Amino acid sequence: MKTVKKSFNILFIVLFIILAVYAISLFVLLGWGIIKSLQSEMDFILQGGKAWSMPQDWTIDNYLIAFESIKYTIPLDLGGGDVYFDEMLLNSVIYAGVCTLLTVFCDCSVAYLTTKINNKFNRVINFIVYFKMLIPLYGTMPANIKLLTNLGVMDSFMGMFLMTFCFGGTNFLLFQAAFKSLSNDYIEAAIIDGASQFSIMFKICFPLIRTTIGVLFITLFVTRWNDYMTPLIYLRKNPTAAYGLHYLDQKGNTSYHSYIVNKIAGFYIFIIPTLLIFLFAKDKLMGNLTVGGVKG
Amino acid sequence: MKEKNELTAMKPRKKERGFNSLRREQNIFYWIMIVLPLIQFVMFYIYVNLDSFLLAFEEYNPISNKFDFVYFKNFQYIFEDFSRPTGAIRKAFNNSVLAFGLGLLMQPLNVLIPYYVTKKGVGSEFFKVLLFLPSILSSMVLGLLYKYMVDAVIPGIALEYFNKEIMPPLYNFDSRFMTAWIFGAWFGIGGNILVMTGAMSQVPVSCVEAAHIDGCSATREFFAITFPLIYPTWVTLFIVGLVGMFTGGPDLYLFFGETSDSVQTLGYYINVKTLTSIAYASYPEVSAIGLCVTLITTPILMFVRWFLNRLDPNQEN
Repeated sequence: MKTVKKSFNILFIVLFIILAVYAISLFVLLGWGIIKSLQSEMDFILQGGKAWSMPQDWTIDNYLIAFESIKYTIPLDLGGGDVYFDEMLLNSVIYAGVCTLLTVFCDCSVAYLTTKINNKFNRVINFIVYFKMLIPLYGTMPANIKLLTNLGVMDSFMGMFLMTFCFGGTNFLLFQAAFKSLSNDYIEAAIIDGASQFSIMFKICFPLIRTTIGVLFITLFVTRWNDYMTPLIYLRKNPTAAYGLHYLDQKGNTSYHSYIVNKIAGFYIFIIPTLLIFLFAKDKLMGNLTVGGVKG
Repeated sequence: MKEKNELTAMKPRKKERGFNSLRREQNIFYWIMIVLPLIQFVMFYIYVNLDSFLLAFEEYNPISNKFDFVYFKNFQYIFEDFSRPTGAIRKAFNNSVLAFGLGLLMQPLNVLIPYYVTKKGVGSEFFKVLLFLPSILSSMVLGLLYKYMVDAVIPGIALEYFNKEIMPPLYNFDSRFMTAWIFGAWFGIGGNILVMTGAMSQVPVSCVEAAHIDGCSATREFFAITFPLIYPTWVTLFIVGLVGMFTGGPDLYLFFGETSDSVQTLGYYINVKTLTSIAYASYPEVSAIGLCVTLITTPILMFVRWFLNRLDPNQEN
C-alpha cells in the first residue's frame, strides 16, 4: 500500500518551492521594514537614502517620533486642524470597534429572529439577504454621500454607525447556520421557566454561540482596522490610523527621504494591535470555515 | 431523568402564560428588534439605490445646487468615451478585464495551495499561518512597504552593483500596472486559504484511503477526488470574485493615490471621480457607470453560475 507521503510527487515539490518563495518574500519585506524602522533618520539621509544598505546608527527613536511626525491636516472646508498619530489610533479603535459591534449585533440579532422565531416576515428578510448577495449594485457611493450629507452626518462617526448597522452577507449566513444548529430545547426550557424573549436571546442563545460571535467580531474588527478607503471617503474629519498613514504616504511628504523611517515605524505601531489579536486568537481565527458545501 | 421531572413540574407555568400570550410576546419582541435594521435597510439600500438610479439620468446644476433631469445624456457621454480608443472609461474597463483575466491565471494556485496545506505537505502549518498573515497585517502596510522596496531598492541595487539605470517600476508607465497587480496577486494567494482548507478537510477519509490502496497518486487524488468534491465551494468563491470583476483588481489607490492615469481600473475610476468631484458634479456620471456595470455584470454572473453548475462533476444526469 502506498502511503500518502510516498505518493508526494512533483506537484508537491513545485508547490513547496512556490510557498518557500512566498515565505521568503514576506520575510524580506517585513524584515527590511523592521531594519529601516530602526535606522536613525540622519543615518538614512547620510547614506544617500540607500534603501538596501544596513544602518550604521540603530535607534528606536523613530517609534517615538512617529507620534509627532505622523499628522493629518483636516481640509479647511471641513474645519481644519491637525490630527496626530495617537488620535488617529483612537479614531481607529472607535471606528473599528463600534462599527463592528453594531454590524455583529445587527447580523446576529436578525439571524436569531429569522431562525428562532416563527414569523411570515422571515421570508422577506431571507429574500433581501440573498438578493443583496446575488444582484450586486454598483456606483452607489455618490447616493450614499448625498444621503449622509442630507442627514448632516457626513464625515462623522455617527454617519459610519448608521451605515454599518446593517444585516446581510456571509456573516449573516454564518450566524444563521450557528442558530440553526442550536437546539430549540434551550428556548423551550427557558419559556417554561418564564424567561422573557429578551432574556432568551441575550442571556441564553447569544452566549451559546459566543465562539461564532467572537470569531466574526475579530475578523471584521481586523478588516475595519486595516481599511483606509472607507474612512477616506466617509470620515475625513476623524481620520483613522490606516487613512492617516496612507494620506501621509500620498500627500504628506513628496520627498522619498522625508520621514520615511518614521513612516515605516508608524506602520509597525499600527499593526501591533492586530498582531496581538492574531497571536491570542490564532487557533479560533484559523479554524475551518465552510462556504458552499462539499458533495458527499 | 431528574431534568425531565423538573421540566414536567414547570409545565403549568407555560399554561399560565398561554400560547396566545406567548405568540403575542414573541411578535412584539420580533418587531421591536427588527424595526431598526429594517429602517436602516430602507434608507441605506432601497433609498440609496433608487437615488443612485435617478442620479444616472440627472445632471448637477451648480447655480441652483440641484439636479436637473437630462434623460440619457450621461450614458451618451459614457458610450462616446467608450467609442474612443483613448477614452478614460474605455481604458478603465479594459484594465479591469485584464486584471480579472490575469486573476484567472492564479486560480490553479488558489486551489492547489490549500490542497498542499490540507495534505500536510512539508511545513504546511507554517505556510498556513504565513498565507493568512497578510489579512491580519493590513494589505495597506504591506503594500506601502512593497512600494518603497520596489521603487527604491531594486533601482538602487541595479545601479550600484550592475551599473544599470532602472526606472522605479511603479513610476514607469509600462510596468506600473503589472507591478501593482503582482503585489495583489502574490500576497493574496492565501486569501481563501481558510475556506478552501475547511472544504478540503471535509472530503471523506474513507474515499481517500480507498484511492491510496488502489495506488492513486497525490496529483490524481486532487483531480479525481478532492476538486470534484469541493467544486461547489470553488464555484461560490469564483462567483464572489466575479462580482468584483469591474470594481476589484489591484489596489491602485494604495500605490498611486489619485494619479494612476492610464492604468486605472473601473473601480478605481469610480472612487477617484467621487473623491475628486467638485460639489456633486461627477456624481451623475459615476451613478451612470455603476448602472451600466450592474447591467453588464448581472447577466454575466447568471450565465457563469448556470454554466459552472452544469459543469459540476458531481451532477447526476
